[in-house]
Amino acid sequence: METLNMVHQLHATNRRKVKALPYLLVAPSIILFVAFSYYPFLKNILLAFSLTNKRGEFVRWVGLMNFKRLFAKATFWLVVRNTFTFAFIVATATLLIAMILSLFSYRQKSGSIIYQTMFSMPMSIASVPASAMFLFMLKRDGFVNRIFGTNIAWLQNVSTALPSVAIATVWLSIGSSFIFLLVGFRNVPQELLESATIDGAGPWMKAFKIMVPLASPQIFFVIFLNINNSFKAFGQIKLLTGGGPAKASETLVYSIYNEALQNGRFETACANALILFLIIFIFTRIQFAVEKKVVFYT
Amino acid sequence: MRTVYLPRPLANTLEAFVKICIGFCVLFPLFICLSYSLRPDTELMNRCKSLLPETWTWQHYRWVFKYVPVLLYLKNSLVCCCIVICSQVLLASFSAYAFSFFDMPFKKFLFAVIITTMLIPGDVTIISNFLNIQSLGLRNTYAGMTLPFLISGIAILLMRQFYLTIPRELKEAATIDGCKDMQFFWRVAVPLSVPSIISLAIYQFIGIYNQYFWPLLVNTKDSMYTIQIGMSMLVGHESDEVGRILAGAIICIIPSTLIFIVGQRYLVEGMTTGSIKG
Repeated sequence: METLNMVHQLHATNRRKVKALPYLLVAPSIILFVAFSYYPFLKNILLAFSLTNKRGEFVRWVGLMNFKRLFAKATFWLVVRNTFTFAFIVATATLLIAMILSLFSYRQKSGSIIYQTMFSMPMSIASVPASAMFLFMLKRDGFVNRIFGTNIAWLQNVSTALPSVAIATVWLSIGSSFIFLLVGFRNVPQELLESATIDGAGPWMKAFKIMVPLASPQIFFVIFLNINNSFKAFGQIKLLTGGGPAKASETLVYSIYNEALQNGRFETACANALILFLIIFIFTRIQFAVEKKVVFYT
Repeated sequence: MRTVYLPRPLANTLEAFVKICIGFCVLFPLFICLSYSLRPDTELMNRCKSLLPETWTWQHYRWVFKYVPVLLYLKNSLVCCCIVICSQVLLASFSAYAFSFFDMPFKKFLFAVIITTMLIPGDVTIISNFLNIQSLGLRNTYAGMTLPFLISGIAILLMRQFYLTIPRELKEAATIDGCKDMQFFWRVAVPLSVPSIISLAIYQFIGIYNQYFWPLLVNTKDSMYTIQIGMSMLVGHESDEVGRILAGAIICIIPSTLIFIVGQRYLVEGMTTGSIKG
């Protein structure tokens, strides 16, 4: 009791005297955040409403002109549609594959680390080597056409370019999704599964009536993670298709790069970036809302 | 439906075997890439379908090492990784320590400032960051390549998550015994948090090593290319270079995959404590 009193007293003295140390500890991080996150973000907003020169410097205000010009272009709406189609393909396909893999391996066994490593390995692979692999598989004289005897230029065809890039992205996203789902499924209480087995539930029944509902926080998390990651996919688009043919596989991130670095239109790039931010922001709000309401906590 | 029961050990082996086969399916693109990078050009041109090379050759790897400054690119990548990892570990530990062991005015506000950055994706600010780095004259420098990544919200959250598990009474007891705040940090908090530090380091290593967009913007000089940029230069659309492209891809994959395999346990822990509280 005495020590407790002493501790309380100590607390009280600490409260009265404001220390400088914690501020000093936090300061470098805050300064870096302001310099490389908040300031660029504000600058991005300002540039989206202004005219810039070829070096990306502010020239004058133009109000909503950049957005009006953007919205009047049919290609912009194509790019927005591509962004959502891409997100949809990536999120659903990755979830499906990762779910199957993690339902396969949720039981911890002696050798499980081997296939667990294999399933999650794509996580450590960058978009550049992955693009090299998928380029080799999907080009006209590539592996897929050789095996199936087809002659389709997967990456140069308007209808197959975007799905092809999406497949590469799915492959890259499987690993991390698998890990999150695996953790979710392993957290399901073992007794629950055992009693279900005693009651005569088959493996499918157990998977879809017990495991999936109980792991719903992780499942929703994975869905939104993949949507978010697909919005940011860049390397595979640049290297596999270059956004083509005729912008058929161009997403918003690629437009940002294209407008800024290829066309030197920094204000259009910033307008695109702002729209991308709004889309990501809306999805994040939806994610928070869904996590609060739909998820079943035990 | 009749169920056939196999003896336990046999069933287990069979199950593991099936799973490893599925693992091979998941990694199929990687194996194809590896197998084709080890074939001579004649075999690559003949549109052969066999899974394994008929003649094994290192010629494409030799070509890549001879004509592409792989080691220089690798060095650039590793220097960037080191700078980012050191800075993130240090700054995130500092901030997390302040947030979990001190009650200061504006604590909530400062924490909100940090958390809010996680709502601003790096790809949204990438162009204005690039313009800032350009106007500071930092293109083609390590500083330019790493400055925007010296700290991240997720790193602070991860370290804080760990520090919150250290009982505050421990620090109070140490204070009574005359231990200064920073002494407690270096002697107790940091040593205890080594697993979290490793998680963070591995996570950042894979992230920075695999970065493509930012170094592509910042680097124009060949001597400052990271390995990803260097290897992406190989990726063209000419079919006669397939072997070289694939060899380059494999070289590029090896470091990050090795780190991943070695540090997998830490990475998984870090990923799941940092992001889900479910």
